[in-house]
Amino acid sequence: MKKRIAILLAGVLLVPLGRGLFYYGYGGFYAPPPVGPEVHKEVVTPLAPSVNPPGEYVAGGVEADGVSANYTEDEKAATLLVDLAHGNLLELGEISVLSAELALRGARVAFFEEDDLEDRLEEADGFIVVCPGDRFSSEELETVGEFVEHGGKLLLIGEPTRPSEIGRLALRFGLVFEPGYLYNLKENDVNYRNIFVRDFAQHEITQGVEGMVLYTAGSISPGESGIAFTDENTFSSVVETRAGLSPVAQSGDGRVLALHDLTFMTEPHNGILDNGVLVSNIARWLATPAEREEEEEEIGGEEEVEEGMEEEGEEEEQPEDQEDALA
Amino acid sequence: MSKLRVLRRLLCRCVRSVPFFVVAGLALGWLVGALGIPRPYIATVDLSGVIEQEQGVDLQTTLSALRGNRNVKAVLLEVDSPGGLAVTTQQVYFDLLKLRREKPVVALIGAEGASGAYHIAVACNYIYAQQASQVGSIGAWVVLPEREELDEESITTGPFKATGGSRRDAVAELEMVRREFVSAVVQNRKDRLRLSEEELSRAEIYMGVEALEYGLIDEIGTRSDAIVKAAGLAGIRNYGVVKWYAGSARAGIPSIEALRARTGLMPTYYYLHFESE
Repeated sequence: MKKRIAILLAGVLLVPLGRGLFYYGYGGFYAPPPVGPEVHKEVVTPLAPSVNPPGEYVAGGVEADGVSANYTEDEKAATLLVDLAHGNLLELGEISVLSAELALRGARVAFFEEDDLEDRLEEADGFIVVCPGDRFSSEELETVGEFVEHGGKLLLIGEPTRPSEIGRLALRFGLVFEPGYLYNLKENDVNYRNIFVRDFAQHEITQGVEGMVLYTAGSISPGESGIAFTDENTFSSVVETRAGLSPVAQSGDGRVLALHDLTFMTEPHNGILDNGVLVSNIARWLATPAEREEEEEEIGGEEEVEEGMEEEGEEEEQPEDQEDALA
Repeated sequence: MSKLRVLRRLLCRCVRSVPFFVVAGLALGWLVGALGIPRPYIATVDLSGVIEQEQGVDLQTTLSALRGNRNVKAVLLEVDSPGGLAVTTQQVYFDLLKLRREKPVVALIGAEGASGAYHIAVACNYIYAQQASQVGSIGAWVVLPEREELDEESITTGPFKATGGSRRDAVAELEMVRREFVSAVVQNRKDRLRLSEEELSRAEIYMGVEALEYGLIDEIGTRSDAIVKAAGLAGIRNYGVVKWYAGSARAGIPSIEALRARTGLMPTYYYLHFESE
């Protein structure tokens, strides 16, 4: 009987064992890898390092008479003309910060919409062109060129996110708004398209600027015209050359300033690092009236002509006087 | 009566005989085996199309059921998706990590295992892809919320009640979402990975052969390779393969305009790969 029970037990044990070997072999047991859900419980919130801590009050610096404490009496009023006649991809609110800085310096901001450009520029000290959707005609390019040659200041602002015809105008002055945008994956203001700029050339525009943040900015060539430069970890999405990426540049004669980002000068971005200082410097540069030497000579010539016309018998001498005056 | 007696005698002789005990033992053993050692299975789960909320819920339910099913010894996750909602992706990812604690999961990337789909795939023990599979796009999208328009009839009690935060906050949160994804890849791929975090953050799409080179996947292989691998990790053989979840119908990838249309005042984050227009 014992033998029979043993046989029974053997059957009960051996069959499952055989089944186990059939389905599982000698593969051993599954050992799960160590990484589990708890590893990801800590996610550091990226605090934007450049934002002023809340609660810090920054005084507006406006005196009782409405003049800013930053405004110096030496800065004479100027007339700035803002281009709105070329399908500009711009909301007026986006230049409110710049306009406010200009107003603090007593500058008058006017808008060019439909009139004759040449006539309007004759009365202006500076011309501001932001992201023109329409091309400047050859005549207009010539007019703006002459305006700058005669001492007028030109501020060109482009935006990689707003394809425009700014490049055609900039090329007139030897500046190229490069395609694409700048980015930095190593160090940025919470997004790879928000780049830090800490390298500046000695220039009145960059006085007091130690660092700034640009938001989806582009580069401007040639590098030699640059006055602000990106670091070695900043790349262009299109331009292969890494050296000399400049989002802020000027033309050789210093009367043309080109920026390849608009966002940095809008609220609240103007409050980041020294963005506001740069805007203030740009306003100061614009608000300094242009030295329009040729216009003064023309005015003098007209007076001479008028004087000559009032006196009888001296009409033959007028051309000589005119030539002397013009000389 | 005599017949009954004959039968009774026959039965007694059989019961006392050795062959009877052999047969009984085998029968009992088979019963015990069938109940105690069921046939192992590999369950296949489809992850296809854009990962929306509904599919996410279905997947989570499936993964939970798989965790509790003792007959399923391994899981094959068949991936063919460009990703989808970030929050849904993260939920499925964490559930997959829980499943992986108990049984091996092998991913097989078909035509595309991009963005959120790849985020989920890295939770698996092993990743297969084809040579021309599209793998990667490690990054996130957000359509920034619309600017709030003031209305005299609708009033909130705080400046961000309607929008949840400023547009700048949305960009910072996008960065958090990106970091979570990169962290998931780095933590799970570990020494197999041959790309830095910065390189991962470029959010490039790699072909299968490139992905293998960079350690984003483990092997180029077919479905049968993946099944054999899953079986090997689970230590099973002579197993069955059962389709556990067929996935939802493959919907078209929404365009940026469609995503914008869905975005109201609150930002929505996506781990999604699609071509910019």
